[in-house]
Amino acid sequence: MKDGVNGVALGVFIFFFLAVTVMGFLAARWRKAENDASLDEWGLGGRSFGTWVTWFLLGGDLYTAYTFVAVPAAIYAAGAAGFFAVPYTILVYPLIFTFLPRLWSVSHKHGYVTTSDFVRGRFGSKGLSLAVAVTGILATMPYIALQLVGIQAVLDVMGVGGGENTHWFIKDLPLLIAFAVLAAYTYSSGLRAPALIAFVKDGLIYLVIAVAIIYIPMPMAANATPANQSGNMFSNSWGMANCPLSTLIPAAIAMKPSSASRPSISEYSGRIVVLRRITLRLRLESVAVIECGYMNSASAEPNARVA
Amino acid sequence: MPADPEGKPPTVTPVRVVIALCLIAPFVAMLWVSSYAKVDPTFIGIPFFYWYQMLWVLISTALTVIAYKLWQRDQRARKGGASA
Repeated sequence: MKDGVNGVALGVFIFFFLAVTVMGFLAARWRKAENDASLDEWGLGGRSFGTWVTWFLLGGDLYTAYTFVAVPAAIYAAGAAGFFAVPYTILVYPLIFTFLPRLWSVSHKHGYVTTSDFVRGRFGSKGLSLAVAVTGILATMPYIALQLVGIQAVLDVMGVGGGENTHWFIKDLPLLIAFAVLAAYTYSSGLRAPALIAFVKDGLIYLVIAVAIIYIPMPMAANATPANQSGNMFSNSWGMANCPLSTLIPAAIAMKPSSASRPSISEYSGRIVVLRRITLRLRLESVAVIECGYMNSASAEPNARVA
Repeated sequence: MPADPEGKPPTVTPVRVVIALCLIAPFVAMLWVSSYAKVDPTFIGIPFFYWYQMLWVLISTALTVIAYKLWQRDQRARKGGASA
C-alpha cells in the first residue's frame, strides 16, 4: 500500500502540518487578554481583531477544500454548471456588505457572541434562538464532511490514503489524527487558532493560485490538441487549465507535482464522485464524457508534470 | 438608521440611490444567466460564459468599494450635521 508514497510531497505536508499544529496551540497566547476565560475571548478573539486579521481570517475560512477540491471537481465533472460557485461568491459580498455591519454593531453593543444570541436578544424567543442554533450546526455538518473528504483526497494523492483492501481504521487513521489535532488546538485556543493559521493558509492559497495560473498551463498549452478547443461549454473540454485542475490542485497544495507515482486513479476518481454527490445536487449531464475525462487526465498528467 | 430629531435630511437621497444601484447591479447581471450563456466572443480562447463571470468578480468588487466609500461619506456628513 505504501509503494505510492511521494516522499517530497509527504515531507512538505508533514512540515506544514507540524508548523500549523504548533501555531494552533501557541495561538492561545497571541494577543492574550487578562480575562481569557470568557466566551468572547474564546469564540471571538476578544472582539479585538482589526481589519487585517479579519481579512486573513475570512480568506482562510471562505476558501477551503470546497474551493480547491470540490468546485474544480464539480466543474470537471459537470462542466459549466459547476461554475455556479463564481456568481454565488460574487453575490454573497453585496449581501454581506449590506447586512453584516448592522449585525456586528448590534452584537457588539449587546455582547452577543453567536447568531442565536442575536436572535434571542432581538425577538426574545428561546425556541427561535434554539432553532437558529440547531440549523447552524446541521448546516455546518455537510461542510465539515466535505472538508474531511478534501483532506482524504490530499492524503490519497500523497499515497497515504490506503488502498482498496486496507482496513477502514488504518485507512482513516491519518484523517482521524489530523482532525483530532485540529479539534484539540481549536478547543484550547478558540478563534485565535484559525485566525493565526489563516496567515499561513492564505499564503499557501496565493501560492496555489500562482501555480495554477502560471505553472500548470505552461506544459498543458504545449500539449493542447485541437480537439480540446471545441468550446462546447457543457462538456468538460475547453482545454487549458480547466479540466485537470481537480486532480492537480491537491498535488499543488502539497507543492510537488506527484508525477506518475499516484496510488490508483480509479480510487481517486471514486473520491471525486463522492465529492460531487456531496457538493452538487445537479443531474449528471453526461457520464460518458466524465469517464473519458478521467481517462484523458490520467494519461495526460504524467507528461504535463514531468515537462 | 439615523433617527435625527430635527436635522431631518431625507431618507432617500441621490447618493443612496447610487449606493443601492451599485449593490443591486451584480444581482441583475449574475442572475440573468441567459445574457451570458454563450461561447462567443471568446477571450484568449476562453468562452464568453467563463470570462464574463470572472470579469464580474472585478466589477462587483469595484462597485462594492464605491458603495462603501459613498456610504462612509454619507454617514460622516450626517453625523457631522447631527453633532454640530
